[in-house]
Amino acid sequence: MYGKYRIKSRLVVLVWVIILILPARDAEAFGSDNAASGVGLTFSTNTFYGSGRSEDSPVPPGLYYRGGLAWLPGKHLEIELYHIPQITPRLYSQVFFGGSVGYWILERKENSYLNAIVEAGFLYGLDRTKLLNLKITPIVFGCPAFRYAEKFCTVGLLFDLDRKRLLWQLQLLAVTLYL
Amino acid sequence: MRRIPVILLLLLCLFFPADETCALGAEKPWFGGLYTGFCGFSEQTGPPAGEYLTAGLFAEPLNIPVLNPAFLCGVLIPLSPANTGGMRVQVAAELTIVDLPVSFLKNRFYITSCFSPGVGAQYLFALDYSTSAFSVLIAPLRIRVGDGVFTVGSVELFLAEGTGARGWGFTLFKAALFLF
Repeated sequence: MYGKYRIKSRLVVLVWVIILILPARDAEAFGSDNAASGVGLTFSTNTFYGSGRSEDSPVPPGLYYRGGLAWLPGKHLEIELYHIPQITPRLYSQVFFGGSVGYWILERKENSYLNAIVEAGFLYGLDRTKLLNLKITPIVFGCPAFRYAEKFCTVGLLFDLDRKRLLWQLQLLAVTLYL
Repeated sequence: MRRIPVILLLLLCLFFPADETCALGAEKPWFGGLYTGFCGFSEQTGPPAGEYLTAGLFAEPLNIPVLNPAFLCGVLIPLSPANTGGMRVQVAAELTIVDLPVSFLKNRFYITSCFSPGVGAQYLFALDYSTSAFSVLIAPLRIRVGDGVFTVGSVELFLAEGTGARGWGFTLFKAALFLF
């Protein structure tokens, strides 16, 4: 019982350490002109909509957020590793870990600003829920050259492999800060 | 002892004059605008478990570098699950403790940014006034950039009459954009 909470609290501490060291890393990076890499920290809102009866939903109702790492190899690809914890009503009572591979529709040129992304990935919950994920982000502003990317109105379709049912996922706002 | 807060306030005014600290510029032509955000509540607070969209109008009538007040009025709308029983009217007052310029963020956002932690209080009530709640708010991660104030991870402590704390709430992200 206590071991489970200890693991959860260590995860929370790890996430916050990453968030808190980001400004310090920024301060060093800004010493040079264009120090942004293709690696970034990503944060977003995350809303799950269960289709059908809510009591069957693999995702308990609550406030969730998504935080993780993004890597942009090449001109189109994006690879993300992230976690989606529940914040309310009970902090970290459910956590999903996931990964995705995205494709930026327009080629990422130097200083290109507008784009759109399609992604495929998976989510794995602490209660062993397994979800496949397809997402589309119609509006992306920014790229590593700007040191940030803002993604708006991401809509995802989740497939629960155990219960054989579909859910919706909505990420109204996501921000990636490139290191 | 009562003089200490006044002295602290005067010192803060001295060290952070308005024209240097305010990200909106020396004139600060704005009075108010729209705000929107995402929040949720712990089990004991009353509203059903879920994710809530908060949206409404705000006014920041004064242009002072410390203890700058803002007033908000809006609604909480349950997003997931979409349950109209969870709708609440929100009336709140917030106090920006101080606007501290953050120079290294200029390389990220290209304009002057200020670290603007805040505190506040809010009153939530159901549309039919069948239930209500009062909470105090702490917003340590608040940044004023351009014509907006962005809050990440603010915590609300809900108070119950006589028994102290009743539960807590969490605002994941809130954007207040000046429009008028």
